[in-house]
Amino acid sequence: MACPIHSIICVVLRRFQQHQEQEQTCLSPVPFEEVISAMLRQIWQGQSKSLQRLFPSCNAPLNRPMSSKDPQLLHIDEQFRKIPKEDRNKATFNTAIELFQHNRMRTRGHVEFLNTALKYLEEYNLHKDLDTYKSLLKVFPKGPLIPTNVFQKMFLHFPMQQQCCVKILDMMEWHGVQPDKEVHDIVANTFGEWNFATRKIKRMLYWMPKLRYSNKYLDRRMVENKNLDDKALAKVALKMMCRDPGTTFTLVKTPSDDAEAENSWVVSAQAPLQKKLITDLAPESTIYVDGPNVVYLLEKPIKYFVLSSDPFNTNFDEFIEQRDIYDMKDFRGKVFSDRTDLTERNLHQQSDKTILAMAVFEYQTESMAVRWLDHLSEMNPKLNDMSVLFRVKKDGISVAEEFSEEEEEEPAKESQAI
Amino acid sequence: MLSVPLRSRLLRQTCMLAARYTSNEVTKAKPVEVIAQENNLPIERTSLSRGLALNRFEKDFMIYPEYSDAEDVDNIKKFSNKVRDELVNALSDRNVHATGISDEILSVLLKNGIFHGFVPKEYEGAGLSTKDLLCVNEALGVDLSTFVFVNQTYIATRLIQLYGTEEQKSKYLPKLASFQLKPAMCMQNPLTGEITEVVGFHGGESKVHGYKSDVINADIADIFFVFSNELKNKGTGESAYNCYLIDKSEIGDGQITISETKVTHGLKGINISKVHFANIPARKENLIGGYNGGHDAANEIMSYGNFYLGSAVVGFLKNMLEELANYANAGIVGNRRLAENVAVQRALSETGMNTFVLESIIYYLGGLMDEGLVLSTDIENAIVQRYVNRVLREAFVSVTQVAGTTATQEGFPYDKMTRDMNTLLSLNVNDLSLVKSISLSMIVSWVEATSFESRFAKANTLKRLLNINKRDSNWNNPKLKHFIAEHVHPSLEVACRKLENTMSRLDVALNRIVEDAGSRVKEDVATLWSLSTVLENNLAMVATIARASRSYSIGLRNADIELAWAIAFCHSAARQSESELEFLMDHFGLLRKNPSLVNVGAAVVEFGGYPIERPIERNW
Repeated sequence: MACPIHSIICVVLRRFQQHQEQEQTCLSPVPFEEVISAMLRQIWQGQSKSLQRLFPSCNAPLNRPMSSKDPQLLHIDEQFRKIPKEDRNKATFNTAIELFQHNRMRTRGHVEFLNTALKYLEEYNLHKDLDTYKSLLKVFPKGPLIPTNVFQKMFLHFPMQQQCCVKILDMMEWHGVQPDKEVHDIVANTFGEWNFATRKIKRMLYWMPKLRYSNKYLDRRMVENKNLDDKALAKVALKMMCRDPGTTFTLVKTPSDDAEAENSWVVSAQAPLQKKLITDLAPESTIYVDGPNVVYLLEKPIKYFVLSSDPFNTNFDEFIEQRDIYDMKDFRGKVFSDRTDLTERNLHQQSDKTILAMAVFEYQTESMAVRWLDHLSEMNPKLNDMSVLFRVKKDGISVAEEFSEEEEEEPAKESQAI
Repeated sequence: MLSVPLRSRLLRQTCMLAARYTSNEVTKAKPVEVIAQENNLPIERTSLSRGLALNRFEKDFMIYPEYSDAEDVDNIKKFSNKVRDELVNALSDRNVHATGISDEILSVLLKNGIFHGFVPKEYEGAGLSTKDLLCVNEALGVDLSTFVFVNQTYIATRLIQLYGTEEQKSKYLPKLASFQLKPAMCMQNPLTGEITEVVGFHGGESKVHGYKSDVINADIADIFFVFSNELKNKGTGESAYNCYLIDKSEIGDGQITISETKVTHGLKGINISKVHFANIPARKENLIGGYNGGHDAANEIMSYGNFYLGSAVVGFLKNMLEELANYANAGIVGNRRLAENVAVQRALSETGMNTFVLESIIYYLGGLMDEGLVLSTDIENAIVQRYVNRVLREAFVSVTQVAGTTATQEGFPYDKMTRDMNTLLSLNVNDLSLVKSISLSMIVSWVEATSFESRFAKANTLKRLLNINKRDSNWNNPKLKHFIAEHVHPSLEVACRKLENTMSRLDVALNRIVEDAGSRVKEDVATLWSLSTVLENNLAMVATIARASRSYSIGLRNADIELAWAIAFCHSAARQSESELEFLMDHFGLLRKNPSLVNVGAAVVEFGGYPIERPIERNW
């Protein structure tokens, strides 16, 4: 007999294939999630009786109407949903919280309200806001949820409320919001000093600051809670990536491709050592502009480009035989040799390529890359004598398309080289 | 934040005492030592360094003080960054050889209300806390002459606040806060021949006569704080030492003449000149600190406010390190950055470490003062001043080693920096006076607190013989008594153990010094110098351990580096203390070695230069 789970997976995969085909031919405007949920309901109700027998506990939730149709939840949902998208901000969110607390005549409904509010945090762009989390946690009543006897302390007292609180704290943690002592005090006043939820905030308060600067190349304070524009973000991202402390960052404004638009910008990063490496390159050697690659600055993706050359002909093997160190033959020669750390390869000279500069563009196009190279040529005149190969990736190209394009565009690519 | 409840035990008591101390009436009647004795306050609660010298310890010392509110930290950081940036802008266009404070800098100071910060709120000031003021002064430290300029107003404010009458406070403090009045300090030094004296006339009012050299900003001053002698009794020659606040607009027929303005190498923002006072009315209402209260006021000037000098120097050094790091990172040697040269890193490491230690000390003491946990800071002020002198001297080495000839090239920032450092070092109190102040104050407190009795006064040979072994054992294998390491992060356990060993050994060494030298110790410069070094190291170790422990525990950025620096510093400081104490034990041992350091200098002076014959000289 076929396993019921196996049969469900087979059906889902089949429907997924069908949906893909329909989507390509634009026959199915219905989202795939809805198709699948309808299908699962159908399978569950009609076909898989054996599965229902296997998991009777799953029966109730699946057979129950969906939560959005619950009149009580619908009402809470409406509080957040009815606000137009342009007005969804901290003030309106806080008003919804205040309204709930003001209208509350009974000691119920906190969990439902908070679960609903959590769903809308990102829509209101408040998922990084510590004050909002505090306001949410303050919704819990103070006092009645604190265990008073040893049995209540032993077992999960008010489990739904504690789980809800942990869910809020989890969301804080997920979005990297640093809790402060006030958050701890709010939770401790709600659930008692050593309850499950309080332990969660205690651990967060201990570990999150400790791990805050685990990326030592990024000062999070430069980005967190700061409304930085793209240029500033680009500089911070480049600063994080460029490990040479001598790197200088320049903002270049170039005419935009679009005649109506204003100037577009390039943030370029190059260290004096990289300039020296360019002068050391053989004339007419080939250099490459690669990109866009993606780096994440906390949760913000930044697309950057790299100017590089083939690796230098240096020894990348850093292994030193211990017996060579303690071999006293020609000791004088070894100690007074001209070869020191300062003549060894530097950090830009990697084994696969030598990195000569990095940049972030406003638009990730080849024309922007050309303008960046023009800017670099002003400070590195030798670049004018070199062949440049632009390897600019394009978004939204499927594997099949890429293959076909490569075959067709190969001669065109060569023509882009300067 | 957690430190607040932990400190609550004696906090209320000490706060009340601190409040009384800052109150004018109480201060005049009861000095802090008397208040401490009356309330049975332990000596470590009164003075941190004295406590450490007496091998006393309070676990609160290991809790680095901090702001209780994150918003306050943000506000003061924003404010000090703003002041710093604006000052840097104002300085960028300034000719480095121009003298006096420029209009641009003055407008930055006035726009940001820098002079308001020192004055209490009830006299139209901002009434900032010590930590706030340290941050502001650190920002001013980007230009040392701007700091020295501002510091004159601060000293004047402090004197009036502590020793002035209510009329003087309400008349002068608001004007000092708004910079309508500019002060100048004229503290006489009779040993150099400077005398300002008050002469009384029958039937008329007394007059101040005399002169004072090296007065800062006398040319632009509106009020002068003049310290002068007044003969009380002609027969016995007894005189009173008074401090007069002389308002230039109220001197009547009197004359204040400014002469011999020095053209200094650095600190171009201030002027140093000689001031002559003639026929200036010396009225009772102009007295600061009452009749014969000049000593207290002079002590206040000498023993307070060095924290702000320290914070300005920290700001200056941070700026200097940034410039040097940029220079080293931009330069190329071989196939690497100049900064990758180990010699450059070594040259920067001294200044980096010194900046870390000085910063730790000043913010530590400033925080403790804000919380009322220490009342007397005379030794600590002298220690900070000595650190400042040492740090500035070593900064010279860093600049010349890293920047090479660029360090002396005109137009480069290092040129102004070295000139400013040079002039500030010349203006600062010399090391010998500081060493005497630190060591002698500590020895006196040690003798008083331990009720020490010399064997000459009460010989007990048997007891002495029996104690020899005990003393040797205490020296060679000091027992842990306070278990300081229990109060800090486990990584700092070794550093804490070394600190505790030094504290125990210092106790043994002091016992021997006082027993053998008695009051003659005041003339033994080498001993005082060594003792001072040990005390400085003790304070610095406590501050760095407490700071690194806090930073690592709460996960501040680069806390791992901070921890490594604290451990490295404590290791070298403990080694230095141990060697200094061993020197002292040898010095006062059976075979007495006469320290030759002072004798070398004496010979140089005696023979008018280098006294040793050339090695090629023949004598037959």
